[in-house]
Formats: sequence, C-alpha cells, structure tokens
Amino acid sequence: MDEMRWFIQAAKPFRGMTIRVVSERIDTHVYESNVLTRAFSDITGINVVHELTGEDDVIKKLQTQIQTGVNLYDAYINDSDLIGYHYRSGETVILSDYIEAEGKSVTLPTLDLDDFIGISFTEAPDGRVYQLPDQQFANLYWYRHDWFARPDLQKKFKAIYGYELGVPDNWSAYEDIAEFFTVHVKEIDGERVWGHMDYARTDPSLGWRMSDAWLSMAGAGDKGLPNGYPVDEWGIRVIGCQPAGASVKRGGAIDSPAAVYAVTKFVEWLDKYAPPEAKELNFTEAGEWVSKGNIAQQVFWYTAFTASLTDPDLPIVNEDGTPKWRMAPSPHGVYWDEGMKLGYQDAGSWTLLKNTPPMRRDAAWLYAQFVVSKSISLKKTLVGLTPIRESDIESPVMTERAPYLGGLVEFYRSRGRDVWTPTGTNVPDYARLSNYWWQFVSRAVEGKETVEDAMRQLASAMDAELQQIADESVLRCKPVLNEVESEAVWLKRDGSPKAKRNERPKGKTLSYEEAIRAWQ
Amino acid sequence: MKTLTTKKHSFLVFLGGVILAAMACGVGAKPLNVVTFIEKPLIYQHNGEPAGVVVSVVRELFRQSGIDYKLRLMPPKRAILTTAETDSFCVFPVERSQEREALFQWVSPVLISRHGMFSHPHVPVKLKTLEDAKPYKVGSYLGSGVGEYLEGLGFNVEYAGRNELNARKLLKKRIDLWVSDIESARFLVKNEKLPISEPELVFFTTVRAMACNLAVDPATVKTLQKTITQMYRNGDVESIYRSRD
Repeated sequence: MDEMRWFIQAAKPFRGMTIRVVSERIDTHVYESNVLTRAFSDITGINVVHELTGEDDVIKKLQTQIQTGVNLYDAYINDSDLIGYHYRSGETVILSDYIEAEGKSVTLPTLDLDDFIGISFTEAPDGRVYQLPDQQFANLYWYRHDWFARPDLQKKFKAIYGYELGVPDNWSAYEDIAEFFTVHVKEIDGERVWGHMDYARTDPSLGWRMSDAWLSMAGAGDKGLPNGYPVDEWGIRVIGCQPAGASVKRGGAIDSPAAVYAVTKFVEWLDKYAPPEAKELNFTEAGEWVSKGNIAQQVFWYTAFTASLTDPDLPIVNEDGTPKWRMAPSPHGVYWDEGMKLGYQDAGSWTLLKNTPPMRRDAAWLYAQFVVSKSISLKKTLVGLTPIRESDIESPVMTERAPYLGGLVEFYRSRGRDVWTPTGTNVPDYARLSNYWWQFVSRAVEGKETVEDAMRQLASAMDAELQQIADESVLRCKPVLNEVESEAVWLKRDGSPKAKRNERPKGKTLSYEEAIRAWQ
Repeated sequence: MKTLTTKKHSFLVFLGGVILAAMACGVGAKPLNVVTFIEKPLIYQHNGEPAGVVVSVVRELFRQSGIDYKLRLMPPKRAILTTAETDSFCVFPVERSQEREALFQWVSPVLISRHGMFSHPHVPVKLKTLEDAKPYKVGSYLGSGVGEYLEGLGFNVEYAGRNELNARKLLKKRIDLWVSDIESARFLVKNEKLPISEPELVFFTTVRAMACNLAVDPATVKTLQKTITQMYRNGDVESIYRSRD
C-alpha cells in the first residue's frame, strides 16, 4: 500500500483537475476506462476521462495535436510503432530524461522500468526511453487443438497431403490445412467450418495486417532483431538511420517478389478458405470471430483477444474452463530465413507530448503510472491478458492460470517475446506512411488491380511520401532517397530485396510441443 | 443555309471561345461543391448564406489555397450522403473516425469539438465514467459520428433530425441523456432559455474535418490539407476564432 500512499501525496497539487487521455478499444483499456479511472479518482482526487477509440483515430489525434498545437489530450496510449517518429520529431517528451528532471517529483519510486518486458520497443536508437508500455500483445498462430487431435481428421489429412496434421511450420502447410478444413472437411458436428480466418474491409486496420506482419512472416525484410537491417519488415531501406527508399529500384522491398507473394497469399486465402463475411470485417469485428467455434486456424491472430476467448460459455472452451484452442508460432513464408523476425508484437505505450501544459502533463503521468504500477498491474494483466511486467508473468498466479490461456503464459515466459517485435525505426513518420498500406492493398483485395500493380503503386507512393517528408520536415535522420537503379541489379545483391524463390515447397507441420519449443 | 448573319456569327464565335476556354481549364477547374449544415453558434444562416466561425475558417482556407468553390447549406445527414455519392462534393464539419476514414478524403481539422452528456434538470443522471451512461436512452442526431460511436459501444441511441431537437426531447423525458457538442449545446440552452445545466460528463473529443468525395482530385485535397495545417501553425485559425469573441 506504500504505492497508494505515494499517489495520494504526489497528487495533492492536482486534486480537482480533470485530465483527458485516449487509447484504442481493447479489453485492457476498457478496464482502465471503466474501473481504474474511478479508483484513481477516489484515491487521488484527479478525475480522468479515458477515451476509447480506434487505433487509427489515436494516431490521427496525436498527429493533430502535434500539427496544430491544440491540447487535445494530456496523454496518449500510442503503439510503440511510432518510435521512429517520436525520436526524430522532437515533439515527444523523452521519458527517461523527464523522470530524472522536471518529472522527478511525480515519478513513482517503484516504477522499475527494467521490469517492463517491452521497454526496448520504446527506446530509440539514442538509447533513451520515449514511451512507457501499458499493454502488450503479439500476433500468433491460433488453431483448434481439439480438431487437430481427432484421429479421423488426422488420418484423412495424411491420406490427402502425405504428412501429419499439426501446427504448420511453413505457409504451404498452412495453405493445405486451410484447404483441408474448408474444402474437404466442410462440416464438423453438423456445422460449416472454415480452414482460415482473416479480415479485409477497406479500412485502416487492413493496413495493419500488412505493416504489422504479413511481409515479415513472408520474409520480405533482412535478417536482424528487433527489425531487419538495412531493410525492415515494411520494406524500407535505411542508410545509417536515414530512410533511403521503399521500392526495389531504390533498394527497398515493398514491391519485391517476397512482398508480392505475401499479399498474393493474403488475397488467395481470403478468397478460397475464409468465411465470406471476412472481406467485410475490420480488426475489431474480426477479433472475436474465432470464438463462434467454426474456424480451424488463423495464421495471424492478435493475443489481445485472449480474454474474450476464455469465457466458459463459449463453444471453444471445455467444461473445466480449459480452451479447445492453442496459440503457437506463426508459420513462415518461403522468403523467411533464420535470424529474421517472424511476427509482430506491440506495446501500446504512454506517450506525452511537449505541447501539453506541464501541470496537465504531470497529472496525466500520475494516472499513467497508476495503471501500470505494481499494485495494479497484476490484476490488470489477469483481466486484459496483455502483460507488461516480468514480475507479473513470473508470478504464481500466472502459473495457475496458464492451463486456461492456451499458451499465452508459455509465450511470454520464453524468448519468443523478444523475437516478435513492433514496427521499427526505419519508418520516419508512421502517421503519414501507414495510410498507404490499406489504400493500395485494398485495390488488390477488391480485384481492382493485380497484386503486382498494387504493390508497385504502393512502393511509388511510399517513395514519394518519403521524399516529401525529406523536403518539408525538420526531422533528424530524415529520408535521403537512393538514386533509381535497375530492379534486376538490386535483386542480385545479398539480402533484401530478394529474388523470386520456389513459392510452393512441400508442407511441413510440427506437434504443438515441437512448435512451442521454438520459443524456448 | 450557307451564310450566317453577323449577329449569329459573333454569338457562335463567343460560344466557341467559352467552350475552348472551358476545355483549356479542364474538369478540375469546376468549382468544388462544398456543403455544410447548421450547428449554432458555429455555423448558421445569414442572409441566406452559410455563416459562422467555422465557415470563416473554411472560406479562408479556400482563399489561401486559391481553389474555386461554391458553398451552401444542407441538413447534416443529406450533406454527408450527397458528398459520399457525388464526385465534386466536400462537406464539413464531419467527425473524422476510423470507421469513416475509407469513405472520404479528409482535410482536417476544421474544428475540434468536445462532446458531453446533458441530463434533465429534474432527473439528473450522475456520471463518473461513460460506462455509467450505458443503462440510459441517449439522444443524438442523424449523421453524428458521436452517435455512431456510442452505438458501436452498445449504447441505446435514439436519433433526431437535428441536434437542437434533442434538447426538447430531453425536457419531455423522451430521452434520458442528450449527447451534444458542448459549445452548440451551451448556445442553445442560453439562446432558448432552456432549464438545462452543465454536462454531466464531457466524454469525447472529436477531430472534425472537411470530408471530400473519393473522386475529388487528390492534389486538391493535398493542397487544402497543407494550407489548413499552415493556418494552424501561423495562427490564422486562432485569429479567426478570437475575432468572434
């Protein structure tokens, strides 16, 4: 209770204030908005309006406050994906400096930055911390463990494909399993089932499928952790810290064979193996879809939805509360090589802007620390299942909950949590560049363009925007584009962009135990 | 007839000139159709024309951008639908949201609004968090992004044709809470001497933008966006807002 006593004291100068914060709309933030704001207000006398909205809205609002100077919010919970912008722009409070200087009196002595498993995501290349993790989730493979374990389905799968039904190690196996359930099994217990689930409405969240991980799972970037270097999972090349181009002709990989392969598979699987509704869904609507009980697997599923899949009344949960499903490492595409990041993990993180009035910023910082404090964090983790602290993950209560969480605890206790990483620092202005993904990929999804054309146009648009950022901004490490060279020349060089490979090797699967061993 | 009278000849030469001039200017030279809707005190009608501080910001935006436009009023829902369906239309001030992002091209912000919930003077509903309002019937207006936002969160939302109708519905107890931009609500309460006090909770901030049809030339939208950003940075927007005080 020492922490609570500290909050009471530290909040005295701010009593009676109402502060405004905003975050995206997932279970963890719903808990903060509905429950923790009330507790914080009761303890400190500071009222908090914690707004929930779409992640794209959070980004747009943050961008608006920076561009206009209008104090929209006193703090933002913004993905660490924007770290490339935060450290380049000079608009964001550098937390590691702030807590040592002007924020010292309002910084919780037991904050313990080293206890945050995602703190490296919020550190810039200058070694300073710009954001404080609030919730963390990964994109993993999700599947119906109970169906995969059925002898009749195992036998049928082996008869058709010649290998075991199990956790897919590569995209060929994922594709085979998708076809197996959608085309060959079709019904289980009288219900129509599907071998694949995704979402693809023309919406900002469509872009996240690509920018978060499809290209990285396919293997579009270079080797290196947390992000490929010099070409990252977005396909942006850097020289030092300066973005040098996204198109192959400038040394990037957004229109490379690997990227085209990635998006081709995305569209093909959606058309052939997902429920027809998938094309009309966005991130939020699709999140809980697998809980309906008619999806066999999902290549790229957000663990932020774990809490909503543990309800004992769901058809995917056993009577004893254990899940019928499991999460495992996502399969990789043919351009992926050992040593590359495989999937995506994100730390929604507290971000303070320099143009927020200091008094309001300090009060908001108290709320930020309250919702991640050691007194609150474990309970919040158990509610939202988006762990941020090592001490929570290693706690006895998480050991007790592990059998009910389908592999979540095993993932966070393994080295996997370091290999699944967010968007890196090659992206100089996430808010400006992220729009292009959904705008161009949607053309391929809707059949208006071929995948090749859509990606070529995306690459051109991304190059043009990088150039414009260079021309207009005062960012440090701003883009300096490479001169155009022949694509053939770039594809012959080592690393990304990579020349075309055999895109349909034989499928390979693993047992669940073998698959999760990759995390250990 | 093989010959033309001088008058007819002159007319055709003139007409030909007009057509050639129009062709030279191209389709892009057509003025943009910009529509807005009444939201007092920010937007109102004066001598049959749209007026108000937000209108002043948008007029200045077009002046500085050097883009030709025609401005007129429409009811909010119709303004948004017309813009979504018609090539050369833009509408403001529309709440920009992730759900609407792909439906339009955006120039933002033209206005930043805070939205509150107001309760009946004799039936106060004390709210600490937005969740506290879940059991109640809330009133919004057709075309409101905030209404859609609340509906998406599972709230029981009832829509009126215009924002001001909700104040009357609240006083007649046909809704429990009136959701409104707080500046518009305060103006209405004061102007019509309604017995409604301060909002129980100011729960949401919206970035309100000019939304343009997807077929509007992206270069035009980019120019407008660049100009409005510049207007905020150099203090023009603030000066316009200050000038009304």
